[in-house]
Amino acid sequence: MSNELRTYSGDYDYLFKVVLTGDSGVGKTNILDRFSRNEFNLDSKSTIGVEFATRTVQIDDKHVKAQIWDTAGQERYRAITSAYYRGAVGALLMYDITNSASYKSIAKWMEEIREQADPNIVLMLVGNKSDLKHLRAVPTKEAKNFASQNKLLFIETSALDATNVDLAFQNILTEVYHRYSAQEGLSNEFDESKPARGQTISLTVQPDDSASKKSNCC
Amino acid sequence: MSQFNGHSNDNRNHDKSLKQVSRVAGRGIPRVILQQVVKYLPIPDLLRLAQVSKKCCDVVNVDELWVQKLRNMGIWSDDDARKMLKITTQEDDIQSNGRQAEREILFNSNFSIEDNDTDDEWDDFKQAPIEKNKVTEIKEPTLISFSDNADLNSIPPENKEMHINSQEKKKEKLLSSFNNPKALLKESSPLEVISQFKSEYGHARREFMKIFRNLAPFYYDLVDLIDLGQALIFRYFHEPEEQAQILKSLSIFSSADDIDVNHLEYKAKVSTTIEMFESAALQELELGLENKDYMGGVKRYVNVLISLDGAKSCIDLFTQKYLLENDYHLDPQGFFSEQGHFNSADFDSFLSAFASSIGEQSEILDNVFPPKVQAKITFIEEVFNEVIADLVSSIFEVAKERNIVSYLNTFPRTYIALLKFIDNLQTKSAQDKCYNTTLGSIVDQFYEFSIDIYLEQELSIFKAYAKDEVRSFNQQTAQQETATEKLYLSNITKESDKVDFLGSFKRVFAKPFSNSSKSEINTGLSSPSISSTSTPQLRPATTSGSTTSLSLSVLPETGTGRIGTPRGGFMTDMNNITNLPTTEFEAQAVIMMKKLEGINTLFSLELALNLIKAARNSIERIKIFLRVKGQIGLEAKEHCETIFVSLVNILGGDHVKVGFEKALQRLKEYHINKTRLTELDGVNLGELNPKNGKINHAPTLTLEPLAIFAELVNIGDLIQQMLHVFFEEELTSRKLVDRNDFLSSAVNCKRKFEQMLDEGVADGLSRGIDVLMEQIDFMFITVQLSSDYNPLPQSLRIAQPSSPSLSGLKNRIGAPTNNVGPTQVAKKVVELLSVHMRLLVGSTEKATLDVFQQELGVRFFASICKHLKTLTMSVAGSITLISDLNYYYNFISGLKQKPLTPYFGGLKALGQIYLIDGKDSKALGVLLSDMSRFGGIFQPEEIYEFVQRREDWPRVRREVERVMYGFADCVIV
Repeated sequence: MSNELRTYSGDYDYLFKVVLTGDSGVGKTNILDRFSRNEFNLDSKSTIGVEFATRTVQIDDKHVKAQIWDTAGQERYRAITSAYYRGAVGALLMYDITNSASYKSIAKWMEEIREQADPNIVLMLVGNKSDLKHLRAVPTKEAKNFASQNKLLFIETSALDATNVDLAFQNILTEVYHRYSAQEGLSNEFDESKPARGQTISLTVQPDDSASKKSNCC
Repeated sequence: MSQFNGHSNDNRNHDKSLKQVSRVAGRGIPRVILQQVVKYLPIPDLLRLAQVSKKCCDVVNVDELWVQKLRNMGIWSDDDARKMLKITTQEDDIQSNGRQAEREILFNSNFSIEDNDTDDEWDDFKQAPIEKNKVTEIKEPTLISFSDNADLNSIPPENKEMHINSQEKKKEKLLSSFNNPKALLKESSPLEVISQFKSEYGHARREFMKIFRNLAPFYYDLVDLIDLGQALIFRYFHEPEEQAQILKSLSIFSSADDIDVNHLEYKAKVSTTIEMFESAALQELELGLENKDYMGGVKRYVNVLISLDGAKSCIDLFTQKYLLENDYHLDPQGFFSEQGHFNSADFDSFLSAFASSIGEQSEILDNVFPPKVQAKITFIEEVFNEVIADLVSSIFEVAKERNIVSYLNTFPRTYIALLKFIDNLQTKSAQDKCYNTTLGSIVDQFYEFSIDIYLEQELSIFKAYAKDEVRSFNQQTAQQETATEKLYLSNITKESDKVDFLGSFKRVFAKPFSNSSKSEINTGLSSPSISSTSTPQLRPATTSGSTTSLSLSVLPETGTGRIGTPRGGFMTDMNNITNLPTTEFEAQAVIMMKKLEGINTLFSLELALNLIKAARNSIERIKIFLRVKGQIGLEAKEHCETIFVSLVNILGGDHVKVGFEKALQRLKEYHINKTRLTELDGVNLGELNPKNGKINHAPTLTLEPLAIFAELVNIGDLIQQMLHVFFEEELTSRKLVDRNDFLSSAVNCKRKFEQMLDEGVADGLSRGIDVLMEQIDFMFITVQLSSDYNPLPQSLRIAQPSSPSLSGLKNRIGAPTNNVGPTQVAKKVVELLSVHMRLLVGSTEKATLDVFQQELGVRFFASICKHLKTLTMSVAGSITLISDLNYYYNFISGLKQKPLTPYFGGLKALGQIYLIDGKDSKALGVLLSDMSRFGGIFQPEEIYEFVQRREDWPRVRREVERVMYGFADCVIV
């Protein structure tokens, strides 16, 4: 384990855990594949359990590594979902713009996150499958309004044609970065807000400039 | 006759008995007895008897009696007679005599007594001058015999002669009347009487009498003469044609009366006369030939001879003369080059010269002989047998003495040459069809004798060659095995090579025979063999010396090698080939050999190629005889099949099977602890993309015995495909063997071979799976770190001296989750599996491959489960665990083996139980009780086993068990 840590430790300044949620079939796995590997798989099956992917993006002059959890939409066990949200600093609430039911579920998902996740978590409403304009069932405006009411970021994406996928992640990670870097001074409180054993919030400081940051944190 | 004779000889009182007979006959001997008696009477006696009484006359007149005589002469035909009967019946019907007439005729045909013609006939008979003469002639001997008190039949020859001489004058008189044949003979001449004969029921006596009347004078004249030159026939007939004709007629007539005591003697006399005449005619003919008077004397005497006894003797004369004039005693050695090869060009030119000479001769024959005689055929046949058959046989002898292969090559070539020769002789005109086909059959007949020997030789030579090849291969590899180590190529690029190779193999096959026929069987060996013999020295040194030498010293007997050979090594090999291949086929073979040489200890593609080539040459040679109809064609066909069968048997049974056995032996001897994979440290592991299973980096890890085995399967598959191509191209496309004929030995033995291959593959795979799984278990144990799924808690890690760079302060915010990729061991295991699962792609049947992959998958699943049960998982480590399980799942789903995905999906779901926080122990219990989550892959007991591997198990156990089994607190306390 230590070996691996050593190899990875130099790659990034921050590590953020971001969770993808939303109804089954809205395209969570595909948007993740598009973001992490720039792939799109037409006949993907529903995800079992959880899958992980990472990608490092540059925000300001920092390397931010996003560790994205692609969860199964149909997971109903609270014990497991809470494990998903544990330590997450951002969540993409995804719906399918051609499927109004999936949009309606957003409220439910939001509630789940508010219950189980860190209160400072950054939420983003993502309307996926924007390429299927002719089948649209959820107007952009409505979703936008809903997002602003609930203080969510909002974007419409298409994993198929890659529209806005990178932008969505870039946006949420920037928001997270800003929110948490602003909180760095309050890290003690932040620490306490973490789940009991506190090992999963992923704000890692690069070893090089750790000396100064360290003192800040403690 | 003999019975009657015997009886009368015994009876001393001969005249008395005769008197008695006549008296009794006159008085009314029963007709039945008379009818029996007449059967044994010679013709003159019959005539005499006819005069005894009306009744005797009736008996003698019975048609059957005469039909028998005519039959003896061989001119009576029942078919003709029946036809005649039909015609006359119809005519009678028209004449409205109706049934009565028919009945009458039928009746007459049996008895002929009441025939209306009888009286006329009888009158004719009586009035005919010959008959009168006969009657007197007959009377006299009777008188003599009576007076001499001796049996008529026991008249001594001189006596008889004397008596006949006494008739001479009468005969002369009679002959003078021949000058006016019409007056003498009603409707026929002695020359034509036989050819004018008609078979007709009811008129046999009349017809016979016609012949008798015409020929008897000449016959009895001839048989009684001493000086045959004085014979009446030669005096009466002057033209040789007529003489021949009458002699012929007499020879037929001579067999009419087989009752007569002197019958045989007479016959012999007639044939002596004929012989004399014939030799005289032949002399004339020869004279004519010498004078080249073809259209005159020759033709005339030819016709004479033909009319006498067919064309045999004069064609013989022609042939003998021809052979004498043209001396064709050739030295068979002359047709062989100094190297001992049969020189077919010389042979061809000799044959064409010969053919033109024969052509000239047969033109003469055509002119001289009448067309119906087929003199040409007989002549050519004779000459062929005399000259060519001898020559060709001695050529075979010489070839055999020199070299058996040379004989095998010579045999069909002479046949081709002779076919050409015959072709030259054949006429273009359609009317000579019979002639042409007969000519064709001359050669075939000749070859029918020797083809058996040839085919046997062909087969035995092939077998011997093939066995020898296999044996020497085995010896060679046995030596190599002990001395050198082998390289084993990775399998990745092999597929396209195989396709290329097979393509060219097929292409070369399609080429005409002429190309390859020039090369003897043995030349096939010369160029590619270099590769197999020289490879040990040429092998590039292995890169990671330490491991290799170590394993070498441990396991020299298995020829341990290492894997992941640098490609460049083969390029240097290529430069060392001194004998450049001469054909595309061989070039391809050499390239292929280079690529596959690592496994030449087990199967040799080159050996297979050589054998197939030899078989092909054999079949090509035999093929020439296939088009021949009848026995030769059938035998040739059979032998083609037999050669194929023995090819498959030797290649399959003696080579491939042995190779498989060796490979299996190696697989069995393989122990995971003895040998090791390539050092993992130095190798930069390629990133394996689980979705498509492609390995982006060249270096691969393979288990040596399994890799060998996979190569073996590849080669086996190649050999099988080569055999298949061979089978299709050579046997089925030429209609030698029907692909669908399940009784055909070739089809059966091919099927057997394929079956054997499949069985070998299956056995090897089953052992291979074991070995591979052992290796995977070994890797799990040795490579997996216990901290992989159970990272040390933050606080402890700070204290660890081994990671000084990790400051607890720096990483205090849950660093462990930063690594979500699969662990090294997962990558290695998956790569190992992936390589081996793909080893066999394309080289064996899809079904076999599926079974192999599925079996591997299931075993892999079991292995993972077993492995997980030995580890401890923490909530933090669960992410790594899930990553690994996802990695396995993706790899498996990339195989597209549907039955496997549920297992690995179940594993994925299982991974989740470690993700749940210890505080949620109650929820954990609920989740564990929900069996549907794991897709029915795991038993509850198993799930329980797995959950025990949680690092915090002691803490959560109580809660979990309470939920799972409904235990109350008190129960546990």
